[in-house]
Amino acid sequence: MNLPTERWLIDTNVWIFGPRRDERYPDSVTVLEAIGSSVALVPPQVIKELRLNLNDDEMKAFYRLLKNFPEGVQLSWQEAVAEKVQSYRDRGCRKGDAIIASSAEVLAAHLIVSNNRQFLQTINNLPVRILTPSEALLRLPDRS
Amino acid sequence: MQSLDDLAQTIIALPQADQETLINKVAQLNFKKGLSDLADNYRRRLASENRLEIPADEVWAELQRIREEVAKRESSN
Repeated sequence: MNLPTERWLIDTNVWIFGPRRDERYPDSVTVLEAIGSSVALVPPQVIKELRLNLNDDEMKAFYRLLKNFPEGVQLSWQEAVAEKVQSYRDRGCRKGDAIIASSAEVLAAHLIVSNNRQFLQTINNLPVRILTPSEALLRLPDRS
Repeated sequence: MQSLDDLAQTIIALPQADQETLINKVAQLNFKKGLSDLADNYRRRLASENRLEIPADEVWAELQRIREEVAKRESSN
């Protein structure tokens, strides 16, 4: 196993549909299981959203996972920069999506991994690349 | 099965790069196992709340609502 070279901001919906093992989004869990082949970036917006989806015990388990795998996961409490958020909103992102895109830029993410169709549709107008889990997996050396 | 001491001896006999690869691999497998345990607990809770089989569009609506709620809260701080 080589050290990961790409930094991926994994959107909240992947963290949710993956553990749900939702058959409509089968590659969500595969992307999460492949963490370590890329570095997963977890910005404050994702953490705050997960807190509203997971209960206290699940959240503790989630933090424990992150803490025990610093080579694969980077938790960031760096808040989004207002000017950058606004620039993404000007490109057509909704506010929450704009915060995610801004965080990806600040954290030097190579890409955002998301199942969010509306977010994905703004793909041509954003400096940060957004890929579905299945597209992202193709970038891993042993899966292309 | 090897004892832990034997296993440690086997590992330290490996080249440094292989040892690092092995340690990273163990960390990744532990992460994967922890993720699987978290998923099992999450699914069990959703099932007990009759929320595991709700349509994807309802999950999406909830995720979008939460996203904008968190974003709105941030801008009011």
